[in-house]
Amino acid sequence: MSLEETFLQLSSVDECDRIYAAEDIGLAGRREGVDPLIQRVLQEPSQAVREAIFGALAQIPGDTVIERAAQLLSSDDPGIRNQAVGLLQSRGSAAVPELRRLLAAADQDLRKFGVDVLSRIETPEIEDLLEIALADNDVNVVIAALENVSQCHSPALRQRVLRHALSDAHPMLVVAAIEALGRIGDTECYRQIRQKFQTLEATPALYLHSVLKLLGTNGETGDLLELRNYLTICEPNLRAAVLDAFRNLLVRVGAASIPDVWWQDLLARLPETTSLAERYQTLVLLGHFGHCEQVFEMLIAYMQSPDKVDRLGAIEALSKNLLVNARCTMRSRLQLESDPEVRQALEDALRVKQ
Amino acid sequence: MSSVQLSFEQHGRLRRLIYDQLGLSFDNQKIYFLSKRVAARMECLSLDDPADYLMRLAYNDRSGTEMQALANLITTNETYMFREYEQLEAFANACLPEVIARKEAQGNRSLRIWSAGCSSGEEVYTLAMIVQEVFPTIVDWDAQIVATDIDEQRLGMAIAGVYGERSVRYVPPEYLDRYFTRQGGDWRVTKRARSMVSIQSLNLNDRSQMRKMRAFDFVFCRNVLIYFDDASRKAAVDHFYNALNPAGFLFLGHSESVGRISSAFRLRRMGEQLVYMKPGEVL
Amino acid sequence: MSRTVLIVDDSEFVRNYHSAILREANFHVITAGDGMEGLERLFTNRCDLVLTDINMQHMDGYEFTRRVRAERQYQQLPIVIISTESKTNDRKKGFEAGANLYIVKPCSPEVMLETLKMVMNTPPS
Repeated sequence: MSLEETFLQLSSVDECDRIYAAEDIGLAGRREGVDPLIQRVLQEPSQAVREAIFGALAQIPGDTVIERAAQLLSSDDPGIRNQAVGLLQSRGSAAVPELRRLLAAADQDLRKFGVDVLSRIETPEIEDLLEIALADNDVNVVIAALENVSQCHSPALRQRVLRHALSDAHPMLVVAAIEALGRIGDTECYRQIRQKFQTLEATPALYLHSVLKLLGTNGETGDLLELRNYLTICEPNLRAAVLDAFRNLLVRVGAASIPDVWWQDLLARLPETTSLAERYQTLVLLGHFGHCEQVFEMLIAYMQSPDKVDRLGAIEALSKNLLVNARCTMRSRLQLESDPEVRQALEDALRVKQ
Repeated sequence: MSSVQLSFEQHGRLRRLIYDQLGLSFDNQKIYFLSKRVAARMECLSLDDPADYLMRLAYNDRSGTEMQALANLITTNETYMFREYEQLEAFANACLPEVIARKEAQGNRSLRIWSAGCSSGEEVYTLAMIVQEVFPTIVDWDAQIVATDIDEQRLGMAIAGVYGERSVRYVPPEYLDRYFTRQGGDWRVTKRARSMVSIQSLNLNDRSQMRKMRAFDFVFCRNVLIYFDDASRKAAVDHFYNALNPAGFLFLGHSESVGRISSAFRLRRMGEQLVYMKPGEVL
Repeated sequence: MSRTVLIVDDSEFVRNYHSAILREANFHVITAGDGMEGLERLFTNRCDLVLTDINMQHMDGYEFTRRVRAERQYQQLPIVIISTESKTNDRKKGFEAGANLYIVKPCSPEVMLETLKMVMNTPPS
């Protein structure tokens, strides 16, 4: 079948024919195929055919596809707009000139689409493009840009993110900026954020999760005490986030500085904790205090818990410092354990030499 | 493999990344399983902090190479009869009766099932047993189960139809009696089990071969597409769409999401299972 | 018993941000990254309200809303669209698809919570 005949087949009453016509036009890879595909997709009722058409467009090289995809971003149909974003993403760095045009568009929705495309593209110009988006006057464009900040080679970019985090902008934007600092921030950024939110207790609820995350990734040894104290007073819905921050901070600064008495707070909380995530995190943290008899006995007891996640948490905790008694209990548990994942965890723990 | 300690939040992020990119879902209790595999990948990449590994997956893996390397560790290749039993239950108790009733009402006594990527045949004979048990009068129908694979050696095993204890360990005892005979220490499928089965070579990436597959009521392609790249996976599912009759069903692996690959299928709930169906209306 | 909200949005950040607001107000939250996953989550969980974005890969918010409304058991399920798109036509399409309300993001936590409570407490039509 010639390409022209395939174009005609795009209008076949048979959905299957239309799908295969789109596929064949894509495989032909010729520029002349672009406009017939675009014209068809704008009137096509079948989702399967629309997907095949966009798949075909992705295979046709050249700038025509990029230009048409950018035009489709103004479509009334969000399905078409979203597919157009995917199409531009598939073009990689070839789409960058079009992205620059989109980021300068008068319509903020188009500028936001530009950032959405950017999220999946590898280009040496990424920081330059993100800087443009971060300077946008529309809050949604800036938020989308902040979500995509993941590496930082320029101090200027970091400073711009920090300025957003320290600003009085919409809380959603500030939170996005704080989270971005969790990925690219440095010690100085962390200290400035902590000057804005001096204590966890005084930090407004809306910002707590992001500040806790930042504390976990960028905090310092002295922050451990604050986290420990905050755990005793925070709202229940925040405990998992506090424990996460605690855990992340410990990974970086080490547990040597934690006084043994801290385990009492963690242990006291355990029986009343109903959240799976929280119990697991607490058990793992208690592993740092496994040398304390009361903690050790509690961990051994949790290895028999009917909840699989408890058993995994206890095994992980005891594995930190595998004492003889723990090894014996693990061997006994292995005889009874039916869950394959827990069995694997036990076997691996026992295999580690003292 | 040693384990690394991911925080609960990191586990959540990892599961989300795996679902978004591979369409595989893991429940929130699969903590150790995933940690261990992440540890193996981190060792290969000389990374110490799981946060760095997650950053790599989320932001620095545009080609999907690292996610594919992880996929190879988190999926199992083992095949056996009645694998993913709950899904087969939905097929047997809900989907198959629905299709048969509809076709009966239309006076169309034909049933075609495709086991795509059938490997050594465990799935196709499983389906053959189920169909005959659920619908004994299928013998009066024009019924066919087409099993295809690219691996000639595996196809040879499927044609031979001889299986060890491990492959048949989940076959109900009464089915073993009805559909197998003993052959030394192994089990051989009987003529009854083979009666509607046809086995042939087919490459899921071969467009012209795939286009010949039409008019199926069910397509099974379980735990195969996870090893394909995005474009090939999408192309295969597009072909499955065309291969199916309207209101036909597509079954990928029970933790694989069809919806990640195509939104052209309609999601339905059958008992406790979610299944994907080609829309019934002709578009 | 706390009510369950399904949040459907392709941005992990937005899902986390809105989840935090809702959890603080004692809602139970489940999330999905696009309309298709939203349907999967809806079909396997009891939800009292859906909060959905519009622009998402695989399946947009309007199509998701239409498919939810096509299921008999979800005719009365409150659906709120929350989107960056603010044009009148966008709202109209949202209501045509079957949404109960349309709010523009970012919105304040107070507006979000008041909107959700209002929609949940409105008698079914």
